[in-house]
Amino acid sequence: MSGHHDHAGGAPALTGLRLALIGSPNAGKTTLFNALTGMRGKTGNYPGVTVARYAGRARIDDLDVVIEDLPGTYSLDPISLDEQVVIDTLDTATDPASTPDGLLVLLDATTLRRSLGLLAQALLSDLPVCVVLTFADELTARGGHLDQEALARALGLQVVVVTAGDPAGVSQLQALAHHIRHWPRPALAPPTDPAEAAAWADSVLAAAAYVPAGADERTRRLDAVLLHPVAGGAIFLAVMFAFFQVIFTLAAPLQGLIERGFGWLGDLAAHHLPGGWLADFVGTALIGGVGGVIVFLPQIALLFLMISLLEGVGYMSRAAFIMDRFMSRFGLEGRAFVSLLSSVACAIPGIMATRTLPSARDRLATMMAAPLMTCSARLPVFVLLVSMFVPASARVGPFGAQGSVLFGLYLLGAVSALLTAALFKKVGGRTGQALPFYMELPPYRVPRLRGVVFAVWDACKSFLRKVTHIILAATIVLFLFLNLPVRGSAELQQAGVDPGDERAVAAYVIDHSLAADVGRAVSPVFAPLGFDWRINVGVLSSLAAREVFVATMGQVGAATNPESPRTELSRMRVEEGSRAGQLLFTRETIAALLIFFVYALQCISTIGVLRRESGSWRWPLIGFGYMFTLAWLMAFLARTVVGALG
Amino acid sequence: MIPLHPEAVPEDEASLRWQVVTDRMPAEGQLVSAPGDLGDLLAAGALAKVVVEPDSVVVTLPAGASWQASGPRVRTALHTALEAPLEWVTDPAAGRPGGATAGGATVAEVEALLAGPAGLTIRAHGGQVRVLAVRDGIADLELAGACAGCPAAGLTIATTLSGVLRAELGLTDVRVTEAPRRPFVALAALLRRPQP
Amino acid sequence: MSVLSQRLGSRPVLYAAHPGRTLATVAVAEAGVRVAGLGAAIAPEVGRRLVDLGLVPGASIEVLRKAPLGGPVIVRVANYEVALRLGEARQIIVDSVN
Repeated sequence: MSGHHDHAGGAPALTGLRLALIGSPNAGKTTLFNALTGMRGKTGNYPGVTVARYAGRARIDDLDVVIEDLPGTYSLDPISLDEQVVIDTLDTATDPASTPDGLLVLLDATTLRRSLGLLAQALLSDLPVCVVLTFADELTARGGHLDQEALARALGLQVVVVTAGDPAGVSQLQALAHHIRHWPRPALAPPTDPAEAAAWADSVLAAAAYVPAGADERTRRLDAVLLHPVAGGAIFLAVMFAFFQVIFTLAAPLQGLIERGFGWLGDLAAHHLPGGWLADFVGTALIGGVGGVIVFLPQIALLFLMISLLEGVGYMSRAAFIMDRFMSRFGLEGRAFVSLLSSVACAIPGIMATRTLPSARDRLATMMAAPLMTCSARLPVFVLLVSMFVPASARVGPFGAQGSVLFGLYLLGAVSALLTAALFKKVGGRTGQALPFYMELPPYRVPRLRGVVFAVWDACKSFLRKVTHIILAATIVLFLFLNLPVRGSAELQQAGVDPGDERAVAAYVIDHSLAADVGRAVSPVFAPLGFDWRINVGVLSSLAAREVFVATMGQVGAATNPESPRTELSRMRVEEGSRAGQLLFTRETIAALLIFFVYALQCISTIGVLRRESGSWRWPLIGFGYMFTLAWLMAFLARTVVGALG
Repeated sequence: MIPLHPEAVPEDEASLRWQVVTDRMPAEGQLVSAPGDLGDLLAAGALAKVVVEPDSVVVTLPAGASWQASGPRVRTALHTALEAPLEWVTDPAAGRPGGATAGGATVAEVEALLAGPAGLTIRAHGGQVRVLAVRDGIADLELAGACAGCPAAGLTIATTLSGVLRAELGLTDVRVTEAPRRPFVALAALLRRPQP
Repeated sequence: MSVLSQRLGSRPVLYAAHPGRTLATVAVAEAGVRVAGLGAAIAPEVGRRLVDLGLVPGASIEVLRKAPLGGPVIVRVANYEVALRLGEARQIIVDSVN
C-alpha cells in the first residue's frame, strides 16, 4: 500500500501515506486539495477508461503524503464503467498498490442530508475515515445550525471543520495524518439498505441538532433573473458574446505584443547567427515554431480564466441548464456546450473540457465534434482567403460581405460540429446504459482567487506541454521539407538561376524541395478541387498548425514578391495540367479551399490530444479519416456550387 | 422507518447506545422480552443485555461477539421491534444503575409528566389518565376513555407509566383504577381516530 | 468488480408502492409534495442513483423551475437544488401531504 516498514521490535513507523479525497462536486474539494498539496497534477488516466486521475504530494514533517483527488461523486455505487474503475481503487483486493491508506470524506454542511449517504458508503470500504466539513460558515449564515461535536459522537468519527481562507482546519488535517492508526472508527458501519440508511442519517442529524440552511436569498434572486426564460436567455447570449469578445478582442493586443516579441527575437537570430541556413532554421523553425504556439497563450489563458470564473461563481450549471434541451437534440447534454464553445478558441481546451461530462459516450462524441468548431487558428486562413474571394466593399444587405461570409463559416463549423456529435453519439463507443442526467445547481458563491489562478495556471501549463513539442517538431520537419535538398551554386547556375539573387534562389529551392515533391505526388487527390502543388504544400504544412498555411503560402508567394504576398497569390497561375496558364486562385478554388479548411482535421496537436484523452489511436485516426473525406466532398460541392452560380 | 443510530458507550466496547427518535418509546428498564427478531436474539442469548432509556436503547453483546458481525441484524431487529413499543416487556428496577431518588412528588409533577411523552401512548389510543392522588411515594391514577375496560391496559400501561414515574419522580408504586364505564363514551372514544 | 461495488450494487431499488402522479406533472412552487418512490420502469442503477441523490421516499420535494420546450426541471430536495431531465422526472412518483 505505501511506505510502511517495521523497526526491529516496536511499532512500525510511518514513512509515507496515501490518502484519497472523496466528496460531491461543488463541495469545495478542489479548494481543499489545493490547500493541502499546492496544486493538483494529472497522473494519467484510471486503467482502461478515459477518466483523468489527479494526485498531489504534501510533505508533512517527515511524512510523505500522496493525496489522490477522486472525481466528485454523489454515490460510490457505480453505474458506469468509469465510476466502477474509480471506486475499485478503494478496494484492498483490487490493485493493492493504488488502495489508499485512509479516506478524507468531504461533506458540505449545507447539503448534509444528502451527503451523509456518501459517507455511509465510504465507511463500507473498511478504511480509516476522517470527515472534513466544509461551508459550516455558510450554514450558519443561512440560518442553519450544527453541533459539530455531537455530529462526531453520532458518527463515531473525527470531524474537522475547514473554511476556505482559514488555515486552521487545514493544519488540523495535516496534524491528523500522522495518527491515522488512531483515527476513531464506529463500531458498526452504517446500513446499506436505503431505507435504513435514510433512517440512520435522520437520526444522526437529530443528534447533531441539525437545522438545515434556509434557501440562499442571493441565489434565489439571481436565478429569478438568470434562469428566466426570456431575461435569462438574453443574459446567456450576452455572456456568450462577452466570451467571444474576450477571446478575440481582448487577446488581440496581447497577441500582437507576443508576435512583435518573437519577430524581434527572429531578427536577433538572423543578425547574430552565421549565414543562411542556420539563421534561417533558428529564425523560422525554432523561434517561429515556438512563437506560433506562444502567440495562442493569451487566448487560452483568457478562455480558461472565463471558464474558471463562471464555474467558480456557479453560473456554468445554469448555462448548461439553459442549453440542455438544445444539446439533447444532438444526443449531447448541456455541459457539452462549454466544451464546444471553448473550442472556438482552440479545440485542445475544448477537448480537455470534456472531462466534466459523466458519460463516456458523450465525451467521445464531443471530442470528435470539437475540432469542427471554427478555432482561432483557422481565422488567419479565412481572413486571407475571404479577402481574395470577396472584395472589401461588397455588401450583403446592411452587412459587409466579408464579415457575412466569415460569420457563415463559423455557423457552418458549429452546425457541422453538432451533427458530427450526433453521429458519433449513435455510432461510437461501447453501448453503455443510458446515464441519467442530473446536475446540481450550487448556490452562487464568490470564487476563491487562489483557486481560479491555480485552475488557469494548471490549464495553461497543460496546454503548453501538449502543444509545444508537437508544433515544434512539425515546424522543424516542415522547414526541412521546404528547404531540402540544399542546392549548390553550380546546380543553381545550371538551372539558370543566379546564385546571388536570394529571391530567385528561394523560389527555385522551394520549387524543387522535398515538400514540392510531396505536393506534386498528392496532386491526383487534390486536383479535382482545383489545388495545385503549391496549395497542396500549404495544406500539408497546415498539419503542423492551421495558421502555418498562411505563412507557407506567404513563403511561396513571397519568393517572387516579398512586399505583398497576397497580391502575388492572386496573380499566381497554374503551371501544369489541363488548367495551365489560368489563374490559380479562382473563386471556385478559393471556395473549395475555404470549405476544406472548415472540415479537415489538420492540426497534429489536436490529434495528439485526442489520442491522450480517448486513450488510443483508434478515435483520432477515425476522426482524421472522417473529416478528410468530409472536407474533400464538401470542398468539391462548394466548388461546383460556386462555379454554377458564376 | 424510525430514525436510529448507534453511539459508543464510554468504557464499554461490548455495548452500543442506540439513539432513537420517536415519541413512542417502550417502557424504560431492562428488556425481558420484545417482539420479533429482537426478542428472539435476546432469548437465544445473542444479546447479553438490553436496557431501555428515555431516548435510547443500550444493547450489550456477550463476550466473543462483535458488532461488525452482529450489528446489522440487531439494527434491523430494533427497527422492527420499535414499531411495536407496547409489546416490549421491561423490568424497571434493573434499568437505571443509579436508581431513582425516593421521596414525594406532587400531583402537579405527575400530571406534568403524564402530559408529556409518557402519556402519549394512552392518548394515542383515545384514553385519558387522571391523577387522583400522590401520597407517600404512591400514585393513584384513574384510567378513562377508550383505555378503560381494555384488558391489556392494566398490565402494559401500568408498566409503562410506573417505569417512568419511578425513574423520573422516585415513586415506589403506581395504582391504577378504572373510571366507571359509560359504554356510550367508551364507544365514541374508540371510534375516534387515534392521533399519530 | 470490488466487494464495495457489489454490496452497493445489490441494494434494493425503492419503488413506489402504488402508481401515482409523477414529478413531471408537479407545478412550479406547488407545496406539500413528497417523493413516494420510483416508477416500475426505471433501470435499477438509475433508481439507486436517484435515491443517492436524495430522492428517498418521504423526502419533501419542491419544483423550482421548468425549462421551456420540454427541457430539464430544477427541484429542491434534501436541502439542495438539482436539475433533472423530464425522462427521469417521469419515473419519480410523488404524493401530496395535505
